[in-house]
Amino acid sequence: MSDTTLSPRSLRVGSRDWRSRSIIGLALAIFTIPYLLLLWLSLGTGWSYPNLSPDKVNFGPWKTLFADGNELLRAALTSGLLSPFVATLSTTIGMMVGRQVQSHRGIWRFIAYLPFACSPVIIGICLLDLFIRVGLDGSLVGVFAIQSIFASAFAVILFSELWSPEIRQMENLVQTLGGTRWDVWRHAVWPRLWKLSAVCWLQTLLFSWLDYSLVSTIGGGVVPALTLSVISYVREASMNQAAHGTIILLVPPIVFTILVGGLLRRRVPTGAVDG
Amino acid sequence: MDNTPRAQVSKVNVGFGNIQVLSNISLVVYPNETLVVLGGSGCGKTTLLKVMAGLQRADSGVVYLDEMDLQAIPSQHRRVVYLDQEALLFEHLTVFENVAFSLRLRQVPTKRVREQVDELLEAIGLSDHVAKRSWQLSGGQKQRIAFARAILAEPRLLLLDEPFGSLDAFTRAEMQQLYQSLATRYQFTALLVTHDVREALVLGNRFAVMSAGKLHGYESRAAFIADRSTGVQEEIAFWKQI
Repeated sequence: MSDTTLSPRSLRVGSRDWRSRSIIGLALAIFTIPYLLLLWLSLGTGWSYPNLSPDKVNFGPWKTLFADGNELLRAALTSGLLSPFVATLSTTIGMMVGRQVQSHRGIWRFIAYLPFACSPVIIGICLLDLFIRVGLDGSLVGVFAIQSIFASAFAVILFSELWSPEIRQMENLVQTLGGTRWDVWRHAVWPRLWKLSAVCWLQTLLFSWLDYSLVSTIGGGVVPALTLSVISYVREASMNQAAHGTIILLVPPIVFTILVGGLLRRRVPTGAVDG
Repeated sequence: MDNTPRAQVSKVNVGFGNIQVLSNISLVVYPNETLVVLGGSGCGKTTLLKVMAGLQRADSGVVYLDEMDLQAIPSQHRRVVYLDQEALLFEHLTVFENVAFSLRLRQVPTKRVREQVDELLEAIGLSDHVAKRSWQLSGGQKQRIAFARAILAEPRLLLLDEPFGSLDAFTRAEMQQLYQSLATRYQFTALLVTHDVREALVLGNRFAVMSAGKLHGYESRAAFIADRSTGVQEEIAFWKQI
């Protein structure tokens, strides 16, 4: 055994490693335990305070998820259908309008920030009258519209910071090399924007998926949403269903975050090489 | 040298608000020559190049290429390539594909693409780097590739906006030598703007000086050197002093 292995310095370094690993492990446990508890609560029926575990542990709630007329499934499907559309529309708007905001600051930037002047629920309540007059209250289209307003404003602000002079230089280069508008988009713009587009899409998707205030205000309780279901279960003290709904609420964002994170770690966009 | 101009700028004016950036600019570029425009920051050099490339509109005046008025022709159809100070390589493409870029746009057959790109990569000394990406290259290597990419676009006119400005002195000197050898080999026509007097003398066949939006051309290299306002005399005096 070499002397360096047993030197006081190596022993001090080794103990620092253990300390930092212990701290990280503790932080992970603190972060993870509530979710594990939720999973545990969802795997049963009945719950008596002050127990942590359900009265009966089985897969009952999960088995009935796909039964006809299951409200939770209906709410999950509605939210699941709505959020990608909100994300796609707002990311597209953000990309296009963000460029204009970057080029013409002042009033355009002010308009982009307006939706964030106060809480979304307050603005939702203020706009409720308008939505009632045009017949969009209590409708999926109305919820889609109001969520898109906020999501688009967020996307515009995000993209307005990214349209740099360098992108303009690349566009000029591709044009003078003989590129069409599609070539300019494909080679000058998209390689610079795709990562932010992925992040923006994920953020706006999560905004819509996890939204409670706007869907309850404009949706008026008629439009089913997973967040509404979870809150109503909590109010009814239906802990198993609430835990069930929360797991369904949390899993897609975690999955999408991992997928988008993996995509962002790639250095270049997939399939971009010519030839 | 052919006396029919390749490019001609006639009384071009560009203003932004109250600021007149280009004031009655006229110049001529002949085939297979490098016209160097010497000027300091803010004199309007970049604006002039952008007007010629079709990236910016002039308030008045005309730009001709091979006696054709370019006003109605969009930049992608002019065959006038504008090269910025930065190399601006495509990060999503390899070195090979960067150089081949304009050939791919023109849908040149793959065999021909390979031949032309290999030849040019050999000429710029980067044959061993074909599969690399831009972030794996040095500043000088990136500039060489940007140059090669522009040459393969077979431009009728190459516009270079301080192309070596971001390089260190040593790499800059190497790039100037490379430029001269490629200009001889590929016989391209170029308008190069720079603020570096030495670079102007090394690279130019004809010379002009730009100041406050106005352009003054010289009949010969000797006239350019003799004019004290160009800074050449000062440069010579400095080196003699050392």
